[in-house]
Amino acid sequence: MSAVTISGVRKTFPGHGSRDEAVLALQDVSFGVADREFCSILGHSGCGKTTLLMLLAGFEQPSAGSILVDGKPVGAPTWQRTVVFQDYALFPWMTVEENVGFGLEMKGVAAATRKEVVAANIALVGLGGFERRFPHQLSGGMKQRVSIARALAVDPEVLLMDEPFAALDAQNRSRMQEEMGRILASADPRVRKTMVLVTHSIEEAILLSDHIVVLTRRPGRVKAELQVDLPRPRSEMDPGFIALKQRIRDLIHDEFEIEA
Amino acid sequence: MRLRSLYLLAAVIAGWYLVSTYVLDKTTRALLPPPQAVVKAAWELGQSGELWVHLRDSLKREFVAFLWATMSIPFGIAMGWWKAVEEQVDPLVEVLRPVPPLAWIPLSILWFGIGDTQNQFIIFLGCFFPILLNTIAGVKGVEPNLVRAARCLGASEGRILWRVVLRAALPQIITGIRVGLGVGWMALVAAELVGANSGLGFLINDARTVLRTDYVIVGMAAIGVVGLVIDRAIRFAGARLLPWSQVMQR
Repeated sequence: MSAVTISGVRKTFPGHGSRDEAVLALQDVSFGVADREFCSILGHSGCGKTTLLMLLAGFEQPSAGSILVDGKPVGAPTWQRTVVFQDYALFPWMTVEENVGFGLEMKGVAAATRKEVVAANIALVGLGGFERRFPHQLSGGMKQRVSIARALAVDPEVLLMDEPFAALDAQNRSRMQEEMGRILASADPRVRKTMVLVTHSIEEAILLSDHIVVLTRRPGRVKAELQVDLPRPRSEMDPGFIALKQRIRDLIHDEFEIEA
Repeated sequence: MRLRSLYLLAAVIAGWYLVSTYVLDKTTRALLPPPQAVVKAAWELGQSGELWVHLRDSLKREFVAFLWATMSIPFGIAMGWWKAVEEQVDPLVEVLRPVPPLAWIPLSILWFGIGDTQNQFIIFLGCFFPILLNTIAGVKGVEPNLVRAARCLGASEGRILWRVVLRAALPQIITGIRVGLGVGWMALVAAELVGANSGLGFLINDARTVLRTDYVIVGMAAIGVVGLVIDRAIRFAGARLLPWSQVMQR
């Protein structure tokens, strides 16, 4: 069980100069993520969605409100909530194998078990044969696969993803999204975790999520919550997909109107 | 190195030869002996073993002082990582750093006398600050997401410092070592000029007193060549040891 409950969360960042006003990034954000649900947080850039993810990971503390995982407040970062970063954040001096095994090593997992788990997770993301490569020898898509394998290897309760495919070129991005969809559809117990994805792509959110939370522009507030009941694996050609996309587009479009 | 890039160097040596042989008269030639006389002097010093003794003493001082100066690496990591440490140490560093190592020589001679310790202290000062400042910059330049990634993968503070921050800062630390060894080498020669009984700096100053300009030039050339070799060796080692670093491959 690892349900996430976010209630009344506010986050302000102090201004830099003395005359700078504090920046209000999130205001009164409340929603829940059910156990083993895939939830997407959708919003424009600068709406505070990444800030929300950093709060979930425990890198930052909310200025007000609370974030609970299984009823317990989120404290310091732990392997129970791993993060996949937009810029991959792979350790450049470690090989693929060593990157994926890093968290297990920190957990004190024995070398033999570690090897097995690492191999299984590398296979899961389709990187067999690249174990000894260094990150700079991999393409962006492959780096992000390593990052996902590294985050999954420690067997976290919650997987947090910060625009994981945004830095990829269009072709690679849709391939990674499809593959992520395939992995999710397979209901492999290794990847069936509570997942929170931050994205600005409506298609990506619909393709992957059970539950979509749309945020407003800064300061971020919950604009709408939608359940996605389309069967997996999903297709962008599906009429249900197209209808939902239009609905979300209208919701987000509203935001533009208000802003203008 | 391309042969073509040596044209100017060859021209300078040719010019030196012409000036020394055809322009200078017999007395002034003693101040600038021709290249072949310098080569002959180098051969003599090499044969007698004198050159190697001085070279060995200088290198030993540089090496010992460098080992002491590596303590700037943990200092730099602490200063780059903990704000409170930097706040306290930074004013001290800022006051001491602009004082050139050479300005320490008089005090150093009074403290340590003539000899190895005096020289090593001066080289140490030359090495210490470049390594320290580069280490601090390296630590501060570590990608915040690398540290976050390590945190959420369960790494403790100590593990983060050792396994992530130190590794990520290594390319810059090695750059600091290159600069530090270069500054140290220059400081060494200056320290030996006035406060030593051996070493390449002593060799050229000693030769000056007996007007052996050929020996002086041999000593200068040895200083230059060794400095270059040290620098290249560190660069080579850096590229080999950190194959993942794009900075080191350049």
